[in-house]
Amino acid sequence: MSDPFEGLLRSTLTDIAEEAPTVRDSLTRAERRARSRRRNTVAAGAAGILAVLVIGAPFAYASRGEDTVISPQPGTSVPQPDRSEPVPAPPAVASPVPISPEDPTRPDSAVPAPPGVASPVPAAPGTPSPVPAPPGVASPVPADPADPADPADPSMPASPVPAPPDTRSDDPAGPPPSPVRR
Amino acid sequence: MDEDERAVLAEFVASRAPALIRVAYLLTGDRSSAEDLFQSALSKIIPKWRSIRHADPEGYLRAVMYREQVSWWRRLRRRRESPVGVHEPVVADPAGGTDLRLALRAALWQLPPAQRTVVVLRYYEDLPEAQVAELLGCSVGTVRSRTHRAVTRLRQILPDSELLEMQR
Repeated sequence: MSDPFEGLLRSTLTDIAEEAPTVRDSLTRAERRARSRRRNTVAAGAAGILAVLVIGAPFAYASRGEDTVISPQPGTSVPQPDRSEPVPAPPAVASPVPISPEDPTRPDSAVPAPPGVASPVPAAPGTPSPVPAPPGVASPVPADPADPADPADPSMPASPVPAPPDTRSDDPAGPPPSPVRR
Repeated sequence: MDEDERAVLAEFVASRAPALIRVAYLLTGDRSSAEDLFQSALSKIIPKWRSIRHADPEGYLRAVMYREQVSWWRRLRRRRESPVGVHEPVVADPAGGTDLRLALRAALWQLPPAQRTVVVLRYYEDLPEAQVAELLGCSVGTVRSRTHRAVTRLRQILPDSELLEMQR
């Protein structure tokens, strides 16, 4: 950069600066502009928040709807018990697969229930079987002879464990091992 | 802002506005744009006047003006409303150095805003490179390169650069 060119540049800039306009009452207009800037900033922020809510609300509602099934009729939305579901036995009926406290060697022997009570399906010990069996079906698991609830008694319900048809539970020699697994 | 602070601000604007308007006019090259630039910078310092009034409010206002001039948003607005008559070619005038000054003025308006700002700060405000870099928020090397490119561009635009050497 040469000095003459630099001098020309400086003098030209000074000449141009002398042509600058004179501004009056610039503070009032600047204050008005500052208020406008602040108002626009607040409005833009509020619009942004509103846009986020409008856009995000359907997504949030949809993600919530994936977890619960919404019933079209809120009054009938109470779940009804299914027919295929097991119905618990009445409180008066004894558990079909109890563990006899008097005979620890045969924990799987079932205590016959009173007549007319549904026969349980083989299940884990201690778990009441809800499926009833037809009355009069012989129990494959003989009960304890000392047990007053003798399966031979037709008034007593069948054993919960299904057995072959020719197997009777009134064998005095002793009952076969119970097929019920522990 | 209470009345006391507003009175101090009004006094500051009344005393320093002419010099700042001159700088704004050099930066923009247009009267209305210079007024708009000055008021835009002033509106930005009004909310912060309480914190900067005891420091250097004029330096703060100048820095806002310089950065506003090279900002991206202002460049968009400037593209929409280009001043008329800036890019008119200047023919040689044998009467004296007037044509050269006119040519230099026209060449200044053809510079990009960043380069013109550096030229104004370096050759009108007589600021050193380090202070220019601090005001514009860039490095000293950037200021140096912008200055070099601006002067080279002015030499290319001027019709008779050699004539200047002969006049000296």
